[in-house]
Amino acid sequence: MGFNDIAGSLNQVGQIPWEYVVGYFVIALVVAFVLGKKTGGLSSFTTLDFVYIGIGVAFAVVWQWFIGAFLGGFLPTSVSAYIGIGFIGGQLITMMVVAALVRKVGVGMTSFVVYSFLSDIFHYGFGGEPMYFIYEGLTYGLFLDLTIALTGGNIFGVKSSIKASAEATATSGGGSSGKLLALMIIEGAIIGFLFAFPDPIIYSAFFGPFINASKVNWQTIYRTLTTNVISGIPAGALGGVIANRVSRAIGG
Amino acid sequence: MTLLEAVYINAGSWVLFLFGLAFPIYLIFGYMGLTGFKDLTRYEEAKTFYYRLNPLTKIAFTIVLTFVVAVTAWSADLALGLIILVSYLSLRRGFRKLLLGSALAFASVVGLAWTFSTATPYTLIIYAFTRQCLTVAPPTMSPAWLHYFTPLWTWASYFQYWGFQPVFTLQGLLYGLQVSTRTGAVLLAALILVMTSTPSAILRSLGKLKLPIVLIFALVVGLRTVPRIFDSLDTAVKVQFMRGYGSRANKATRVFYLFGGVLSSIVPAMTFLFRGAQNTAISADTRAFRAYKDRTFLTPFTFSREDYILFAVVAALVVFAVVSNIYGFGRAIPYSAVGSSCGATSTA
Repeated sequence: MGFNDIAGSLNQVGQIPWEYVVGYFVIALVVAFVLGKKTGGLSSFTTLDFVYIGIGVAFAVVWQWFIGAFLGGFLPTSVSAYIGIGFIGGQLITMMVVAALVRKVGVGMTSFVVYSFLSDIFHYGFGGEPMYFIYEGLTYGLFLDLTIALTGGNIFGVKSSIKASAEATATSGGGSSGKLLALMIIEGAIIGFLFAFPDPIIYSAFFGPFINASKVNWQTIYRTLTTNVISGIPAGALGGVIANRVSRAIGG
Repeated sequence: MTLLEAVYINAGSWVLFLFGLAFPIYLIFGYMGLTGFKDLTRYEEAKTFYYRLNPLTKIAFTIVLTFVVAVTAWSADLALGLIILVSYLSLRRGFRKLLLGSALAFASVVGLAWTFSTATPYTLIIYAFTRQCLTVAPPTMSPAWLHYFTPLWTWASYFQYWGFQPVFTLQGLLYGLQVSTRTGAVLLAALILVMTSTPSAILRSLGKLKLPIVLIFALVVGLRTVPRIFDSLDTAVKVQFMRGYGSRANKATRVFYLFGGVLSSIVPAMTFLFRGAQNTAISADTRAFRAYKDRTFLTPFTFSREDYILFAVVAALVVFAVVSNIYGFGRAIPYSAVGSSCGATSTA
């Protein structure tokens, strides 16, 4: 074993060449840096934003390790292969809620780094770090931040919904329009789709062998990717609606 | 197969199945309850050994333990977990925390071990124990199969739809224990940090490591929020029960109503806690949080005699790991087998 429980294996059969992975993370870092420069990075965050991140991450940890972990046991493996209850409730939907509340570029990466840290305190015990900070922050976290950047901070149509609600209240009209609902669903589904990739591709085909010296089986990877996409898209779509509703309820 | 045999296999399979799935749920939600979770995840003041330690020492202990349990056999991991559990007696309300920690660790280990014991493909277990790569396992209960496995129980055939292997084996059980016991020991050690350090002490320690203050702040908010989540869920569930939810539940089914109540209380609890975020932010801002780049410290950052004792324990753990491996108590089963098939060169 190498440093902090990291085997450092780079030549497993089927493992993605390290050059590709380093290339991805270099590009991800550049993207994160450019986005940070453009939007002010963490200095544009208020104290309230960091409180939202802390609370959201706590929910993700409680769901993942104390509720979802036991709930998942009731599902047959043929179903749990499609529905990772811990992941969908914790890392996907809860983090979408946090992103909808903060709506600033950097919230995704920050939330996932803090999530890794808190998970280490409550469950993992820091083995394999700092690889998980890098992996989670620059995959899942970056995907959320890219969505925020591409939507101009109007992720899941939260800003539009708040504006529409204010106008509806002024004219005694209804709530969210069908167009806004479609926006929440589509953006959520895209995030669900993107979240399906890191675990099978980047973790199983690179970090698994690198950290645990695990072997690479591309049959398993293709199967996991397929099941993740199938469950991630509807879960993400649902998460988009939940994130919008929770954000509005709190006064986002 | 006679009718009596069929009844025996079906009844036995369901008893074992419910033991693996429902028993952890019962321990968690029936025995521990939400207040038990709250007690295991919050700081309570006391002056005993763990409370006098610097949080960094406790983090170092957890990191080294993670390394040690990763390279030793399941029996050694189990022994370490038990020793840590017994040390819970030194905590404030130690006996209650010993019982709660036992329930959580037992539920966690049994739940995880059961999943791996019953569902891991035979080819994977053969590879894990013998490093022999077979594309297809020999026919179940054939002499070739019995060469690799010691059968413990034959499941009713329809359990295979649940993802179970046809026969529950000793090797499957050992494989499950190897995967799960390491998590139990680390979980128990990690909770010591949470139960015996104030959030501000953790913030101070991590600040000394030059981690960005905003990240530490979010982390400490998260640490403080975990027990509050259980508190909020507890209140929300009690309100549901007061309104008549689960009124028809008997002793046996009450735990499942409680579990259902927890699930339906998550969004209300989330909304409640997020709404309170404003107060926390105002509180931090009025104390000039982020007014300066660096923090100053009122309390000196020191390592005490207790810290050096734990450092000695940490060193002993490393020696223990080395000696265990020399004397054949190293990790017999590679984690590399998890989630993969054989056929490639393993370095584990």
